[in-house]
Amino acid sequence: MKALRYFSILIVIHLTSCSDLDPASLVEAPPHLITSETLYKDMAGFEAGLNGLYSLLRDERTGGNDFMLANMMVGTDNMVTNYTYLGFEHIAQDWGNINNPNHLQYLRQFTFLYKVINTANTIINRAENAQINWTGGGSSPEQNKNRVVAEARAIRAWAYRHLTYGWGDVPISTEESSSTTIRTDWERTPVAQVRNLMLEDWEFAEQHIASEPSQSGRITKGAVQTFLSELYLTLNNPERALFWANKAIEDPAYSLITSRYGTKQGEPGVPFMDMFTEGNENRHQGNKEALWVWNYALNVPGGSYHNLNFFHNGRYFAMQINGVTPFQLTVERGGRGVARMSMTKWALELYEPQDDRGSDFAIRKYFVFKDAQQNAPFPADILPPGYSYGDTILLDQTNDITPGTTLRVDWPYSRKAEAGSNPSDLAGGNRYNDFVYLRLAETYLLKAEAQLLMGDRAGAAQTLNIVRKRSNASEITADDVTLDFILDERSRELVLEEDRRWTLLRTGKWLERTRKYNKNGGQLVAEKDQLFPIPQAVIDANLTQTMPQNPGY
Amino acid sequence: MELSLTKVACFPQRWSTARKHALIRSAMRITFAYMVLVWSSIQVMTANPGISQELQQMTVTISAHQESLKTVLKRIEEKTGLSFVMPMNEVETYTDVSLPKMKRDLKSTLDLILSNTHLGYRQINKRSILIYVKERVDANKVLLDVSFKGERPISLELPPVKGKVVDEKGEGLPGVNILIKGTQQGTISDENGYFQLNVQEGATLIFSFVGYITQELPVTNSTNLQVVLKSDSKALEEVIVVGYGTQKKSDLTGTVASVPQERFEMIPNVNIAQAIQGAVPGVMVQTTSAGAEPNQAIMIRGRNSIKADNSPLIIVDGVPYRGNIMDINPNDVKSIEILKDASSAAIYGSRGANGVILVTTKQGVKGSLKVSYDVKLATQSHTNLPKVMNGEEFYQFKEQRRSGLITQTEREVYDSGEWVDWYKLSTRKGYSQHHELSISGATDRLKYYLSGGLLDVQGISINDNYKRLSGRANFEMELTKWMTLGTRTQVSSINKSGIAPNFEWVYYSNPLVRPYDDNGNLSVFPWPGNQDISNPLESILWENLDKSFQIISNNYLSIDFPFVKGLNYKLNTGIRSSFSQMYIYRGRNSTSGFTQNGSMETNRGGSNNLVVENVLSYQRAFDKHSVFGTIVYGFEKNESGDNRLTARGFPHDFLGIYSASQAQLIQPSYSYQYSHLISQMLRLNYAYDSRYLITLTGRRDGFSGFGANTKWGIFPSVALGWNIANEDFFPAKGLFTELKIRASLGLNGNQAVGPYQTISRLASRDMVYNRSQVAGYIPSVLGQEDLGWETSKTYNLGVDYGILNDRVTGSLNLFQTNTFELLLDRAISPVHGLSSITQNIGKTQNQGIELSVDSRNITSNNFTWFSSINFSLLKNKIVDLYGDGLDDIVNGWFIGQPILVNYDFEVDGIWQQDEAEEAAKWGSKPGYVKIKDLNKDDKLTAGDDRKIIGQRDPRFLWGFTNTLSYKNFNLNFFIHGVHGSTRTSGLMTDEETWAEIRRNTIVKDWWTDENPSNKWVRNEIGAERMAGIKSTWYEKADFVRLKDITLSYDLSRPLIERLKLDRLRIYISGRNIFTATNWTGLDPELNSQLATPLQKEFLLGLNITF
Repeated sequence: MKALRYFSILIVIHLTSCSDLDPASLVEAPPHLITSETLYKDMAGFEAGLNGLYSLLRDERTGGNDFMLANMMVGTDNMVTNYTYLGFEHIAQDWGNINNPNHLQYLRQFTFLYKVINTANTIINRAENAQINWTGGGSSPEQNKNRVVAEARAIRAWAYRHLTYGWGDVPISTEESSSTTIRTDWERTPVAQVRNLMLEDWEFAEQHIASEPSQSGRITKGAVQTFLSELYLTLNNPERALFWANKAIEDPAYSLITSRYGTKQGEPGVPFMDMFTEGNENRHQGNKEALWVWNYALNVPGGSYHNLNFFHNGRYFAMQINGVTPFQLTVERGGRGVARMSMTKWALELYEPQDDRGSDFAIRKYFVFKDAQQNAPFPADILPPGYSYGDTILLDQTNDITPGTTLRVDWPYSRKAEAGSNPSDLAGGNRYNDFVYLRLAETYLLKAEAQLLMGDRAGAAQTLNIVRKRSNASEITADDVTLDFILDERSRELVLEEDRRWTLLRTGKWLERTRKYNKNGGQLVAEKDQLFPIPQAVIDANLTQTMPQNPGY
Repeated sequence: MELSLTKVACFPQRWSTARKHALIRSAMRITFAYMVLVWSSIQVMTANPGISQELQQMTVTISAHQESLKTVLKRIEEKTGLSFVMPMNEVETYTDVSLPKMKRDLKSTLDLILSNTHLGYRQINKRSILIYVKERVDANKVLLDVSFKGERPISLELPPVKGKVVDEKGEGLPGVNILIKGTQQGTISDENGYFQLNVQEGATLIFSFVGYITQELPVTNSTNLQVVLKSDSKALEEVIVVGYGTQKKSDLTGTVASVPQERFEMIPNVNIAQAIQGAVPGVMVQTTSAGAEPNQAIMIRGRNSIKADNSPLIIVDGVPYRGNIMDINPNDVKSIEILKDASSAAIYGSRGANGVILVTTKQGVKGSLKVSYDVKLATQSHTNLPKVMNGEEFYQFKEQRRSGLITQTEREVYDSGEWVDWYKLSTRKGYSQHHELSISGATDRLKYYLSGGLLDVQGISINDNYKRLSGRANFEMELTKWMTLGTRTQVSSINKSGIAPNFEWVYYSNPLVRPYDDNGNLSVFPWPGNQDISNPLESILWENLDKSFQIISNNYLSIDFPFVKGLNYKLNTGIRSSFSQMYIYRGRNSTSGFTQNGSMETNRGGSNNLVVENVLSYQRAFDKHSVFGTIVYGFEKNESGDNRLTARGFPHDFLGIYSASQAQLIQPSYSYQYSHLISQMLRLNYAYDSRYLITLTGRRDGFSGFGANTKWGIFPSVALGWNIANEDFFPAKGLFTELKIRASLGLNGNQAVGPYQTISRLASRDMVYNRSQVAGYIPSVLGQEDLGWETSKTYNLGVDYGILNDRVTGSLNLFQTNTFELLLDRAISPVHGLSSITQNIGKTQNQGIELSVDSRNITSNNFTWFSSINFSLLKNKIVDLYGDGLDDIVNGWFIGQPILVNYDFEVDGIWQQDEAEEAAKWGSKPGYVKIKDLNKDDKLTAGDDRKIIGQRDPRFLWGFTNTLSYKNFNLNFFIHGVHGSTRTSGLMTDEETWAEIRRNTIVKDWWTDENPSNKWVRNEIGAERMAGIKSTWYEKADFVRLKDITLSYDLSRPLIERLKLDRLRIYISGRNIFTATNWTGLDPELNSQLATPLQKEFLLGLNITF
C-alpha cells in the first residue's frame, strides 16, 4: 500500500510535466515583442511607424559633445571651432590627417542616416502589401496610403540629401533590410543617380503631403518644395528650382513673419527673433513662416532633446573679471553652453547697424550684472571688485578666433541658441524646445539664387529685399546681386539654421569662403576635404567588393 | 618498508604463511589476536565504525544448515551486492553455521552468524564490510605480535611499547599495520586502535593503513604512544561526481578535476569562484571587478566563442544553476568537480562546450549530531592605487598645459592648501564577518545537514556593502528500503543597499574643488563655475534599497528497483525562484537629484526556473565486467521578468519614491523572457577488470530560442581509458601505483544566445507632437531564422599517474577544441541601417596542455609538507569567420590569431630632440608621441599601419599550493600566476583631462626638455597624437600573486577531549598579500582600471565542532 501511495505521487508529478516534454513547447510566442509583421497591418500601425521615423531623425541634432551633424555647420565661413572636443569641431580646426576615415564621427553619421533610410524603406515596402487596412481618419484609404508613403519617401530623400552632400557617391538602399539580404558587395552609386531617387521621392511626396503637417512636428508640402528647389539648384536646373520655390512661396499657408507675435510679444524684441522663442516655433502657435518644425518636450516620454544650442551657446559662466567668475547660469542667458562652434568674426560683422538680425536681440553681445531679483530664481551674479549691478560687460569680437586664441568665453553668439534649457538643470546640455528646421525665408533665398542663375538679377534683388525688409536691412538693387551676396545674405538670415557646408559645397564656394573667413582651420582646408571620407568600417564591412575611398584619404 | 596499495592487494596469497607463523606463536603467547585489512571495494568513502543506516535498512533473507561461514558470507555478498573483506584462514576455521530461514536486516544477520566466533565486523565504506578477528582479552593488556614472515622471532626481552592509533577525529583505527623499520616484524592495531609491540628503544615504527598517510615514529621511552594517522584523500579511491551519478576515479575516462578541499576552508572566499581560482589547471578565474561583491569570470580551457558567453555551466546538486554564484554559500559546499573534456561534459549537451562545474553541497553523515561553528573576521585594504595628481601637481599640470585656465575657485582652494584627496574621501578600512553554524548527522532513516550563515562585508569603498543571509536544509529520507526521498534546499537573502562613489570620477575629479559646503554637507556643485561636474560622492546621499531573495530547492526521489540489482530510477527536480527589488531616490541634496528636481528608479524582478529530469541508471559488476548505464529524459524552463519605474521632477524630497505619482515624468516599463529546453541523454560506461574502460555518451537537446529547423542538436562522445599499471606485463610497477591513459573525442554545444534571437523585431521609439507622447517603432534587430548551437569538437589525451607509492600523483592532458558554427554578431555594412546580425558562422580552435603534480614531499609524524602545482598553456585562434577566409577588421577578428587581440597603431616611443627634423615631417615635434609608419609610405593609414599588439587573454596560467604541517600547526599558501596577455590600462592618457583641464589624471613621467624620457609624452594637448592618430599604449598584464596564505592551529586532542569538543581550530589568513607585476594600471586582473581597487584582506578565523 505504501509503495502504491508513493508511486501515485510519482505519476502525478509526471503527468504535470508531460506537456513540458512535448516538442511543441519549444515554439516561441513572445507576448512582448513587436515585429514588422504585427505592426504594419493597418493605418494605426503605419502611423506608429512614421512616429518612429520622425523620432529617429531627430538624432541629427543630438549627441552631446559629439554632436551628430555638426559637420554641416562648423568648418565653414560663418562657423568656427572655438572649444575643441573630439567631435567634428576637432576636424574642423585641424583638418589634414585629423580628417580621416577612422574618425568615429563619420561612422556615427553614416550609420544614423542609413538607419533612417532603412526605417523609411520598411514603411515604403510594407505599404505595398495588399492586405493592409488603410481606413482611418477623414481621408480615403488611398489618400492615407499615399500620404504615409509620401512622408516616408520625403524623409528617405532627406537622408540621401545629407549623404550625397557629405560623401558624394553613396550606396543606394531602397529595400527593408532582412537577414536574407545581407550584402558584402555594396557599390557606391554615382551621385547623379542617387539624386534621381531623391527627385522621385520628393516629387511623389509633394503630391501627397499637405501644406499643413499631418501632425505638429511633421514635414509639409512647403518643406518638400523647398528641398526640391534646392535639389534642382544642385542639379544646375534653375528653372525647376524657381518653379518649386514659387510653389511654396505662393502657397497661402506660408508667409514670412513680419510682425511681433507669440509668448514674448509684449517684451522688447524684433519679429525675426520671435520664431526662436520657446512656445512660438510651431505653425499652430503662429509661426506661418515655418515649413518644418521639429518637436521635443521636457518630461514627456518620447520628448527627447537636442544639443545644437548647447553646442553653440557661450561660456559666459566661465568669464573671469578681476579674478571673479561673476555670471550665473540662467534661463534667460540660455543655460550652459560649450561654445564648441562659434560665429566667425566675419559672420558677426556682416550686418548693417539697423538689421534686426544683427541686433542685440539676435546676437548676444554683452551681459549685465544682475542681482538676485533680476536673476530669480537663480542666484545673483557675483560682483567683481569695482562693479555694481546694472553694469554691462561687453563681449569681445575684436580679434578673430585663431589657433592661438581659441577657448574664448567672451565671444558673442547667436541668441537663436538661447532657448530650450531645462530650468532645473541649466548645466545640462540638453534642450527641449521645438525648433524651426526649415522656414520660408530659405525658400526665398533659394528662389533668389535660381533667379540669379537664370540671369534675372532684378528679380533676385526683389526676392532678397522681401527677406531683408522684414529685418530692416536696406534694400538692394540688381547690381548688388552676386552669388557671394546671396551667400552672405543666407548667413545673415540663416546662421545656425542652414546646413552651411552643404550650401557652400552646392555653390562650389566652400573652399574659397572657408579659407577666407574662417581663421581657425579655414587656412588648412584642402581639396580633399570637400568630401568626407567613407567611414573605414563601411569599407571594411564590404568584404567581397572593394569600396573605393574618396580621393585624398 | 611501507605497504603499498598493490602489496596490500597481494595479502591473501601471502596470508597462509603469515597465518601459520602466527598460529604457532599464538600457542606460545598468553593470547593473541589480530586483525586484517584487505583492500577491495567498488567504492570507498571514509571508514565509518559500525554500520551505516543504509546497511541497517538492508534486509537479506537467508538460511543455512551446517554450512561454512565462508559460503554463508559469499551468499550474503550475492544477495546484497556488498563485499566482505576477510581474513580467509580465520573465516575458514568456521564450518558449522546454521541459521533458520528468515528475513532479517543485515546487522542482525551478521550478529547471528558471527555470534559464536572470535570474529567481529565493521563497515568500511558504503559497499564493503570488514571481518576482523576480535581480541579475546582486555584490549589494554592484549599484545598483538605478528611477524609476517617469521624468520626472526621477536625477542621476548624487549620492552613492550603500547599505544593507540587514531584517525584525525580521534577515533581508534583498527587494522593499522605497524612495522619495525628495517625488519619484517610488527603488529596490527586492534578493534579500538590499540597495539602493543616489543621493541627496542631507538627503533622506528612505521604505521601504515590504506587510505591514510604512512607515518614513521621513533620509539621513545614513552609506553603510551598516541599516533594520529591523517587520511590521504589522494590515495583513497576517490569517488568523483561526474554528473548524473558518481564514478570511481580509477574508472574515469574523461577529464575531471576536483578542487582541493583546502581551497574552501580558512580562506576569505565569498563565492565559489574564488575557491576555484588557480586550483585546477585549465580553468581561468579572473576577478573582473572588486568591492564588497566582487565579480569573477570563469573560463575553462580558453575562449571558444567569439561573441557568446564563455562561462561554464554550473550544476548545483545535479541541477543547472542560473543564479548568481554569490548566492551560494561556499561553506555549504562539500566538493567541486570540473568537467573539462568533451566526454565528461557531453552529458550536458548543448551547454557543455564551455565545461561544467559540478557543485555538491554537504550532507549529514552517520554518527551523533554534530554542531559546527565557523567565524571569519577580516579587514580589507586596497592592494594598489594609481597615483593621481594632488592639488599642487594638478595646479602645475594645468598651468603648464595651458596657462590662464585656472578658475577663480580652483585658485582659492589651491591657495588655501585644502585640496581634496578624493581617494581618501571615497575609501575606508573594509571589514567583513562571516558566521556559519551547521548541524549535521544521521539517524537510521534520515540524514540531515542544516546550516545558517551570515556574511557581512563593508567594502573598502564607502557605502559599498554586501550582506548575505543564507540557510540550507539538506535531508535525505528512506521512505522504504528501496525508496529514498531527498531535498537540498537553500534560501538566501542578499542586501546590497547603498551605492558606492563612482570610482571613475574618484580618479577624474579635480582636487581643487570643495567637496563640502559651508554647512559641512556634501556640495551639490563642488566646482561652482562648472555645474556640469557632479560631486563624485553624491551617491552616498541617495536613498537606495537593493535586496534580493532566492530559494533553490532540489528534490529527488530515488528508487532502487527491488528485483533488478543495480537498477535505479531517480526523479530529479530543481526549482529556483528569485525575487529582487531595488530603488534609488536621488534627492535635491545630490547633484543629479538637484538637476532633475528629484529622480528615482525602481525595479522589481523575479525569475522562476524549473528542471525535471528522469534518470534511469544501472550499475553492476559481473566478475571482471563492470557496467554503468544512464538514461536521462527531462526538461528545463525559465521565465523571468521585471517591472521598472523611473520618475523625475518631484514636488519635494520628503516622501522619496513614495511620491512617484506626483512626479512630472513617470515612465513604467516591463520586461519578459521565457525559454524552454528539452533533453535526452544516454551514457554507457564499461570497464573490464579495471584495466580497459570505455564511455559512450549522447545527448539530444531542443531549445526554444533556436530556429524552427534548428531546434534540436545531438552531441555524442566517446572516451577510452587504459589502466596500464594494472597490467601484468607493466614493467614499472614498483615505480607506478597508478598509470592510466585516457583518450576522448566528442561534440559539445554552446547555447550562446537567449530567446527570441531568431525574430526580426522593432524597438519602440516614441515621438512627441505638440508635447504629447505618441507611440513609435523602428526596426532594431535583424533576426536570423536558422540560428542553432555553437558546436565544439574536443580531442583529449590524458595520463593520470601515481608514482613512488603515490607520493607523487597527478595528471597530464593535451587537448584540442575546434568550435564551429560560431554564433557571431557579425558586423554588417552600416548601409543596412543596422550594424550587426547574429549568425552561425566562423570557427575557432583552442589547443592546450595541462599538467598537475601533487606531491607529498615530507611525511613524518610531526612534520608534513604537501605541495600541489598546476600549469596550463593555451593557444587560441580564429580559424575562419565568414567562410571567405577574410579578417573582420571592424571587430578586430583575424584569422589565425587569438580571438581577443589588440589591433592598433604601434607606439614607438617619443620623438626626441635629435629627431626634431623627422618629427616635423609628421607635423610633430620632440616630446610628442612617435607612432610607427609600418609600411613606410610616410602616411599613417588605418588600413596599412595597424598591427596586432598581443592578445588579451593570457596564454599561461599556474597555481602553486603548499601545505606544511608541524604538530598542530598548518601553513598553507597559494601562489597564482597569469602570463601572456597584453592590454591597455586606460589610465595612460592625458586627453581625459579635457581641453580646459577639468579632470585629473595619474602622475606620469612627462617628457620635458630637461627630462627627455621615453616613458610619457610632453604635457601638451595633442602630444599623444601623431598625424591625427591618437596613440594607445599597451602593456603586459602578467602577474604573479601570493593569493592566499593561511596559518592554522588545531587544539591538541587531550585538551579537546577535556573540553568535550570535536575540534577547535584557529587560523589567520591573508589574501592578495603580494603581487609581482609590471602593470602600471590599477590591477592587471580587473577589467576596468577606473574602478574600485582590488582589496587585500587579513582574516582571523575560528572553527569549533562538537
